[in-house]
Amino acid sequence: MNFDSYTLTKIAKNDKYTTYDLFFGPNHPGMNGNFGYVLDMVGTEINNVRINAGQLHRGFEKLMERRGWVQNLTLVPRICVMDPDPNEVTYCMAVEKIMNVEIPERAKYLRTITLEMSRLTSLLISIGGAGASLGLYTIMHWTMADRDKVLDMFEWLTGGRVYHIYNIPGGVRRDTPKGFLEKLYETMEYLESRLPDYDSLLFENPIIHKRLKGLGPVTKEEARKTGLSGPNLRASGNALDIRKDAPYAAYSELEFDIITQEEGDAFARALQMRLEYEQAIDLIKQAIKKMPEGDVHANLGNLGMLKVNPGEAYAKVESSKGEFGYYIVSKGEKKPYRVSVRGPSLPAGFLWATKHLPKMKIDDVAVWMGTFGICAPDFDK
Amino acid sequence: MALGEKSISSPLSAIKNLFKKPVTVRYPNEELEVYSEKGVSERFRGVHSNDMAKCIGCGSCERICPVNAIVMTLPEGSEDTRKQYRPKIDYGRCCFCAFCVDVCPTVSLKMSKEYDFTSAAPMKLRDGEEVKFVMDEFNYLPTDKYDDNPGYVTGKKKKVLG
Repeated sequence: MNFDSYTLTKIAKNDKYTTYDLFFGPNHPGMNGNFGYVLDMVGTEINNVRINAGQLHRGFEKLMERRGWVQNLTLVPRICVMDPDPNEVTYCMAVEKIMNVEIPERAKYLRTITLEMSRLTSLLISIGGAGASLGLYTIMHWTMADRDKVLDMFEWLTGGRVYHIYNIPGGVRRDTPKGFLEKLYETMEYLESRLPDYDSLLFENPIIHKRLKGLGPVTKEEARKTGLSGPNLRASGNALDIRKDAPYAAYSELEFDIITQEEGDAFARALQMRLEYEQAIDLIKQAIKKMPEGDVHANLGNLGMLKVNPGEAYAKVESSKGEFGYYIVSKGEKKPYRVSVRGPSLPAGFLWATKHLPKMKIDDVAVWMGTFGICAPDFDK
Repeated sequence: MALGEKSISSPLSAIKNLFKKPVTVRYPNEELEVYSEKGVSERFRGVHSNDMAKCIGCGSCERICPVNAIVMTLPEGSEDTRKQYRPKIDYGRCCFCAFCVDVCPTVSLKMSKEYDFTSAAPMKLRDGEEVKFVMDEFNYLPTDKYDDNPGYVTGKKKKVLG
């Protein structure tokens, strides 16, 4: 091994602990979730990486085959704790596709609002995490405090703060409580007023620029070839968004542009999160203004005894991390025959880890994970 | 919108937060004031309450429960007929999804805003006794104890799960 290429002091070169294995796993404060990398280290630089998944395997797909169609709704949000609503909506959309059901207009708007609120909570953790993994804990405290405002709104609408279980096949469970939409609009204006503070602390900070620019670059073609999706794909210059390309819920009636970045490095990905956060606030405001009156769920009979006719369907949703998809096969029974979940974090967490991490400094691994938005439960479900 | 590199002193704008009120509250002396009433929201999914007179013992809640937390049991002193059975909930398993509330045909089962599960445990317990004590504490037969503090309640007209 050529040690000269590595950042070693003269003393360390003679040290017998020059090369060592570092377990960068759930015990490490910079790791997102119960997942790990085993890093072959030379000094402070990574030489090789081995992926250590499987610590979060809970067997969701198999569990779903043993529960009723509606009972599964308590299980799916637990696949991604940070961004739970895309799971509920995608599952319901796939069931509705098999049953060939059209949901009421108001339910579509409520789904859009919950999806975008869920995106806000997830992006707030990601933005805060990007700062915290560089030692800037102030931004983490701010984003967590602001995230609580969104969670308060979720509690008012659904009854739960983290696991909302608000969507059911055929629409949503309850209509909005009195005064909810006005308060939600106020909350969105508050979140928007916080953006200049985030910018001055994080996104216009020269230290953050120096640390993140050029870190973990992904080119436009590579991003497509390796199956990246969502903000990571758009940060590399690909103008692809499921909300535009295959509209679901009420996205076809809302006005928004696909935001893209050109550079494809860690800073572009962090900036992409920040800009999509602003876009989500705008989408919620639009949805509140355009919200029609009417029913919130289609009548599908007794959902407790629901039987879905034989068939299969794939439904996909643009979550805060990328494409969330559910492939469901029904044999006409009270339970699904097979459910397969497509999580968005797999290409970044597995493939790009093996490409980017070698030759990277140990200090950059946590923020590299943070900007990719790697959510371990996505691939370890 | 361009978010370029600015002066090194731009993070100092955070200093103005030194003079703001804290966002946290001193629970239990204070409670959050987000909604029209203090504390948790009007749809909060907390401990169940059950109107024993309205409940018909149909067992719909037991069937829908995704985590098998509900068992229909016979309350003490009632005769053994099917209609006398009442749901008993294991809060060690309950995931607070409120499907049991949505499915209840008589709207007797509701959820309250109570969320405090703590109880004082006797200090001197043997291993086996402690397990039994905790199990008894967590297994709760809902009555109308929390009826004056309603949380997630489904009105009869707006059937959700049929």
